[in-house]
Amino acid sequence: MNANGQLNFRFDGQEIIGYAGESIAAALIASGISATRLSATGMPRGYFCGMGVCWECVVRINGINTVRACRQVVEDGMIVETVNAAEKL
Amino acid sequence: MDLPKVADIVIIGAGISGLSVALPIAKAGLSVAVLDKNEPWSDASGANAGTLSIQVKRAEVLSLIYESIERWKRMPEDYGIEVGFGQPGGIRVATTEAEYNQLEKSVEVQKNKGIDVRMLNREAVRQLGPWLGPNVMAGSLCLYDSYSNPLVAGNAMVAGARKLGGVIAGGNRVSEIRRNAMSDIDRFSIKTVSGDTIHASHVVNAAGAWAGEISSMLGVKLPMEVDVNMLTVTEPSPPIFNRVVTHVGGILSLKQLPNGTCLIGGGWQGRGSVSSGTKNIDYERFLHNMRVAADVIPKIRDLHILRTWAGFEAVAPDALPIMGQLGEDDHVWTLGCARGGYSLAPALGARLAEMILNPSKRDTLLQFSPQRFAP
Amino acid sequence: MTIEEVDVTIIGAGAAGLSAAGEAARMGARVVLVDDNQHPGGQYFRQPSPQNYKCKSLVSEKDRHRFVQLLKGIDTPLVRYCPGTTVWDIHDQFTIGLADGERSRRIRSAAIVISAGARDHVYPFPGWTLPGVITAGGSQNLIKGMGIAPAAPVVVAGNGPLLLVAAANLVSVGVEVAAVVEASNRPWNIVRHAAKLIHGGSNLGLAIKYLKILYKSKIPFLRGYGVIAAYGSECLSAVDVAPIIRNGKFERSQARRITAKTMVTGMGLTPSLELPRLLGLKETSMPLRGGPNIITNEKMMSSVFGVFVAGDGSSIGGVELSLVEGRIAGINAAIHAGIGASESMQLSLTRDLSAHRRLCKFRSGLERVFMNNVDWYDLLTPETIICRCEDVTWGKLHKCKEKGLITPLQLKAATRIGMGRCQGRNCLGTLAALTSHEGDDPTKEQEMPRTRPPARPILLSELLHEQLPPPELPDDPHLPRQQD
Repeated sequence: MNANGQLNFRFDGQEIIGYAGESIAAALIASGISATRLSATGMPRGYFCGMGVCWECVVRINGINTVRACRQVVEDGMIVETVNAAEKL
Repeated sequence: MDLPKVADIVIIGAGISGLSVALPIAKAGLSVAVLDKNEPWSDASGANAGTLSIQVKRAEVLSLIYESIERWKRMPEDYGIEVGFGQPGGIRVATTEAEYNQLEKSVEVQKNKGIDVRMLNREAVRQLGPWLGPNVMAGSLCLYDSYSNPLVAGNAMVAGARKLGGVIAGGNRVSEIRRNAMSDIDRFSIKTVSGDTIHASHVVNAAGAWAGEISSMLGVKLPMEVDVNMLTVTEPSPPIFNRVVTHVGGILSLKQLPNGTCLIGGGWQGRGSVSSGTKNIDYERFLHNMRVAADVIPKIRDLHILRTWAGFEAVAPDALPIMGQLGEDDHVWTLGCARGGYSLAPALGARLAEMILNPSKRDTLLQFSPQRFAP
Repeated sequence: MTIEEVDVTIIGAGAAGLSAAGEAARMGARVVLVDDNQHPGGQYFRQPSPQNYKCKSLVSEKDRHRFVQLLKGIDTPLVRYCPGTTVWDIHDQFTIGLADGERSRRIRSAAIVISAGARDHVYPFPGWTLPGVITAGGSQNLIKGMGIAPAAPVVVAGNGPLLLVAAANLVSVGVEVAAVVEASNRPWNIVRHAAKLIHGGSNLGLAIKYLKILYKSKIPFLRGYGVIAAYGSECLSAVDVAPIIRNGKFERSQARRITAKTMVTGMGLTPSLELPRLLGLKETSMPLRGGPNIITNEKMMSSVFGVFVAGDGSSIGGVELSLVEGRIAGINAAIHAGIGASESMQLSLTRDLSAHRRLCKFRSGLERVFMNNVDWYDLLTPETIICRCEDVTWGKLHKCKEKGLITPLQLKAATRIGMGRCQGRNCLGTLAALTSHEGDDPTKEQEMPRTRPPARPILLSELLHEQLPPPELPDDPHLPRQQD
């Protein structure tokens, strides 16, 4: 992270620039990305309520748990991935 | 829903027990009406994890378990319904030396009863379940362990019974059962709280936690205790584990359903009572339930918990099924089963239907007869 | 294990919660102030969070000052502020289960103030799930909190004062707004309800400021219009708007298409009801005030003894009302916890009560200005998504009706509606409206799925660290005692 708080993270493999204190959703929207999830029937979804209620912006971070992109602050080197709800067992 | 005026058989309770009797009876061509005070499937049947595990059954019921799981599996052929059945096989784990010994003994008993089950040591159990936690020191494996998703099965069984002409009527609490002349038709008048009356020649008490109450209306005492079982479901996740997992020491049942959600249960007790109608989560026991689960399959700790719920389940004093003629009248029947009732209901229900339909079959499974509690 | 005991627990650190905490502490109560957000202020007093915040600040000098005062009020050893903390369970009278992302813990509290705020009310319409369709609150959070503009051009469409605020803020930070579409069409209502609106005080100045911004921007302002569908493949590309006719239906023959990458929408706010419902607080339906409202008395106490509800989390009324209700609830919660009120506190309570009456008059005037009768059922197609988590469509619900499944509980069991990650927050309100709209008797109360813990999704790992007594397993001879 540099002096003005700029940092880098990845979304589905793509390098994204964010700033300290920004939510993942805000950083993605600033980079022109609005679809961050695939729904149960495979429809694209993204940031909707912006206050942690709707869970539409849910993403997976660092290969482990799901977070709401509107609430999780970006961190340098974070790996963010689309959650694909249509992916079946 | 409007009640018919008459039915050959009225079943009280539209849970797994009641519907398991209703399906074969309706298929045999008799008219059947199933009454429930709430929505069908809204207590023990809805509030259980749908684990069809052979390995956690008591020795006394093992003779029925293969048949019952087979009946679960055959529901699409028998009744044209999809009940969310899966047969991934099950692993029952031990995490301490004492549990290991207990598991070995249990496997021996099961083998003697003809169950195909085997012990797995630490390495072998990990080969089958690399997702098991480091505290798991051994397990037993039964490839016939299965599940049926209760959220799917309930609607399916209701729909199946309706397709066969059965009436499944939720929102009909029975307030009074009157015994008329000893004729075969119109033997009983069953009144509901909303003022409807339905006449029947047979009555089946499958009212679960309310079975004692219904028995009293029929003039028979049925000693029942009530469990309040808790259940938890997680958010959907990519595959984590692929077996039905149970625990020999701690109370646990764990499975991941085709939609990716994990169902965590086993029978930890919530708070509440039938008389107050409350059935709530007990904070500390809920936490214990989650800890046993995370100990056995550590990866589920990264999942969000979305919902918990609780349901009443009736338990006989000896925790065995209650099935057969209730009292002196051979037109009054009962079916109930805790701690395994979901697994066993299809077999017990089919047998009870046979008993009702065919007087020559009435001496089967006497060990489960409610007569054992007669004073 | 000792469970910490406090006098008052306040849930939500927005306008109502901060003022409640300040007043309760001023009374001498030991207060825990729990907030799901990482920063205090709630939606209204939200502060810019990124370091490189580039947007023009949208917070007025007056609000900046008020916020500083509110923070001063909780800057006392009596108030323990717990940011990033979720209340996931409340049981007994009252044990409160908290989780902070890492671990769970419990506190015991003599009184509770729920000031959990509200969220945007959005009805379903074709295309509403497309990325790029966001709520008015979501737009505010992006520009006010993050300093980031949503993709332009933007169409702002819906109903109510918040929508105009969102539009004016977008214009202020230089975002291209293609149109503002407002469902109500009764400008004369401002005159008709002037006697009530006059009680708004500083609200009026603010309203004029926002209207001026919009007027000066010369953005098309469509009154009596609504969006009937949103289009796009991967994300939003256009919306269709149409006039609303007398019966609330849309005049589709006059529909026109507007190109938009973002649609900011909302039909006003609706209270967040998870905790009130977990506690079983009595509700009443107030269609003009966000739908289900929590019934409170003049102390802001709900139907459950010791539980107070203040601000938009009880009934939609905006920031001024929230501040006043928070103060009233804070004082009364402290009194409930056994703390005597000094004469000066009594006096300030009296003042707050009269301010409350005045603001309620303003509110009812404002509600009437924005009154509309949109028949949103008219927009539904078989493909319209109702439950966003499980992708349950209107067509699927309708098919259930043919099978005799009509109540919310039956539909939930049949379709999984309301069973996803949002725990029904997106769809259960819609489901309640749909089932009563479709039912024989629209006034008949519907039995809705019960709210149970966790009141918000919690990570299973959060539950592994709290100290617990060893489990008491019953001495049961009938082993195994496992349930299916």
